[in-house]
Amino acid sequence: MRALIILTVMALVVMVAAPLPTSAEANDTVCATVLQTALVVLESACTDLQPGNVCLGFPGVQPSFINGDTGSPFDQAGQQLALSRIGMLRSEALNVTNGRVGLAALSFAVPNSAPPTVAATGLMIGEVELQLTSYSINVRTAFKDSPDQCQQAPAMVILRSPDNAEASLYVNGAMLLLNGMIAIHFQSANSASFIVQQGSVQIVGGPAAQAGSTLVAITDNTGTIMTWSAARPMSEKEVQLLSALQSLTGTYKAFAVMTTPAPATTNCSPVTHVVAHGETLYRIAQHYNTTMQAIIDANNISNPDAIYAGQALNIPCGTPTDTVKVSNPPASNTGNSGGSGANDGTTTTAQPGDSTGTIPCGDLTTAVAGSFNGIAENFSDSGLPMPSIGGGLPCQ
Amino acid sequence: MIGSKMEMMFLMRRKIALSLVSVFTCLLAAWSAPVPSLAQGEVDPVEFRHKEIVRTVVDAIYTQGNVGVMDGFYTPTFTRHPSNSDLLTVKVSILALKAAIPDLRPSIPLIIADGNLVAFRLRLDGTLVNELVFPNSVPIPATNQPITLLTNIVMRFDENNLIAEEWDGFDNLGFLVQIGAIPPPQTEPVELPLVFNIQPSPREQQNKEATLAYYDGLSRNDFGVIDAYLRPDMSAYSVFGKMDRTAQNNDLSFLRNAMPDLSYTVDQVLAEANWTAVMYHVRGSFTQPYAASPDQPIQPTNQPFDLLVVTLYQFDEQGQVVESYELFDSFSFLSQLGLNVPRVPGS
Repeated sequence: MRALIILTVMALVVMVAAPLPTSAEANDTVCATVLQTALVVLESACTDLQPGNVCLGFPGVQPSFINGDTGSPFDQAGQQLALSRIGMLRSEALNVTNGRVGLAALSFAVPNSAPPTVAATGLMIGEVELQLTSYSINVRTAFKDSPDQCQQAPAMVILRSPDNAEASLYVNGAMLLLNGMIAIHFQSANSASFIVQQGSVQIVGGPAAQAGSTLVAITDNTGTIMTWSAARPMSEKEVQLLSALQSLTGTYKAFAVMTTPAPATTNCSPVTHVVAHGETLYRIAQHYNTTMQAIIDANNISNPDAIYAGQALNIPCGTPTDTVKVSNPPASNTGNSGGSGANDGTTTTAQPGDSTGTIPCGDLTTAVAGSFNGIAENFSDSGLPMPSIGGGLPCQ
Repeated sequence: MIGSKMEMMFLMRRKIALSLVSVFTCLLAAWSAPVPSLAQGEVDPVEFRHKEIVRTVVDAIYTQGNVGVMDGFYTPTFTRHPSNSDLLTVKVSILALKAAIPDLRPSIPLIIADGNLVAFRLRLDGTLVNELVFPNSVPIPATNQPITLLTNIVMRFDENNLIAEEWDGFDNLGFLVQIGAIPPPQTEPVELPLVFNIQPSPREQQNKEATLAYYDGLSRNDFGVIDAYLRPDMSAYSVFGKMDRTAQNNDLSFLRNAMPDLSYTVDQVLAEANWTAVMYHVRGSFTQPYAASPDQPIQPTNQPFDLLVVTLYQFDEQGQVVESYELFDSFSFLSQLGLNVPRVPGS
């Protein structure tokens, strides 16, 4: 039955996409429709995502198997594969011609844990390449979205830690301590934005950032992170990108499906909610800032699609999405001490609205900042850091 | 009101300071002399290989962003001067630039080799479409404006033909201007040649010796020697513009008067065809007023400075300099001299 629904929705997508619009605005409409539909399909198809698996949300994701595993076609929404069998996942960019966009939900399990424990969940959307090992992931996304074709066609990987738990993730050669949700998006072949949507992220040996901020990583051509910027506020483009996703409803619902239910906290009391006509578990969970799974568990619901108007539901205490937990309280903005910037043990935290940075030691500007106040003040006033390429003085 | 006054003070001081840089530039660019030289020999295969390595590396790292290729062409102990950067730091700075300017297009309008040294002028063109990231700093926003970066570089190869050292005349002030971090100097924009005139010359050795003699004359403040090396119609290019010989000599006089202890130490000089390249340090102390503008002299700061400069000279057939292309970090120069803007209390 569910497969029939999915096929029907997919057919509708193709129908919507078929008459190719010529203007960018018309394309945006198609793009939004394709993306929204894909997310709805994923939401429906991947409700039982198992720890350590990838679930195909929408056709357009190709796995490369390891150890001579020939695998099998991965083309049905809802189909799941163990990530341990896969060396690489590639998903397609949104295509307005055929109405496809690569979309998959991932559940990263703690290695060798029994029973399997979810370390983090993820979504890959659009043109993404994901290399997987048992202990790390390497993300590459399209180097730019296709602004002329799809303003709302993100190419990104979204990672989320379990509720009330910190996820340690080895991503593109850097260790991330994630307590919330981040979107990873490549600006170019050599720079990736780590956009903190919820909670916080701490880079081991590097900066930290909180919700509303972005860290920019400089990478080599394989995606390996070479150094980090300090956190800056989310750019307008990033806000728009994520807003578009959020407004299309899928992202957070999908995560609600996948995320471990939040344990009750001692600071709140469960409430009872009477289901109104037209309400869904997703909307109710969102309303109370909890997860759908938490409500299912609290009410022993066997069929999430079979709630009815007038039904009384026990709503467990949720996890406020605006709670920020920093596992390693970051130090103040101390700057760099070696010039390379990576793994120097310093940390930097920015709050939304921050606009100043520090200067790496070894650069000319560090050495002269004290005496050359004119330019220093100018930089400070403009909110710009004081950079140096190829120049500079040695650290003392 | 305080803000605008401070801005005016800053702009006025900066203009004077930049004028001093131009003066300094002209001075340094105004020397070379005619000397007999060796007969032209055949192409040295090692020197040819070194130049090919430079071209290969420049293309790989700036066009493709493939800094991994550097591991095969650089020694593990490679150092870039004057920042004393190691290989990893250099890689990071290149990737940061490439990330901000994905369409970065490198070109090498001039490259010469001499023994284990290669000197070349590197030009990078592109558009700043992404933010510019520096380690642990808030990124600089994209300007979506074209940008052109110029630098003169001297590289030293070791006995295994690996790049062991590099001296870079990159000008941070010009860079900061282009990325919109500070306003541009009030000088006329100058069109720089994209292709340099390289002609075989039987005077390579003489040109090399002339370059050394010229700097000796500079250190001794011997204007007779200095003038002897410059053709009357020569042009001196720097990041701030183009000057003729008279303007350069005037500026040299102003600078010498302000810094009587000015000295020049040549670290490397190389010659090929009708070009020489010199990498040197200029040192001095700003102890006397700088009076290029008599009614508004810049008062001395008594600050010493030590600056790395890389300059390229084109010689004519008579052994006189026709053109010079000089690059140094004028940001460092101004900073070391203490030419700053005082803080306005309460601002």
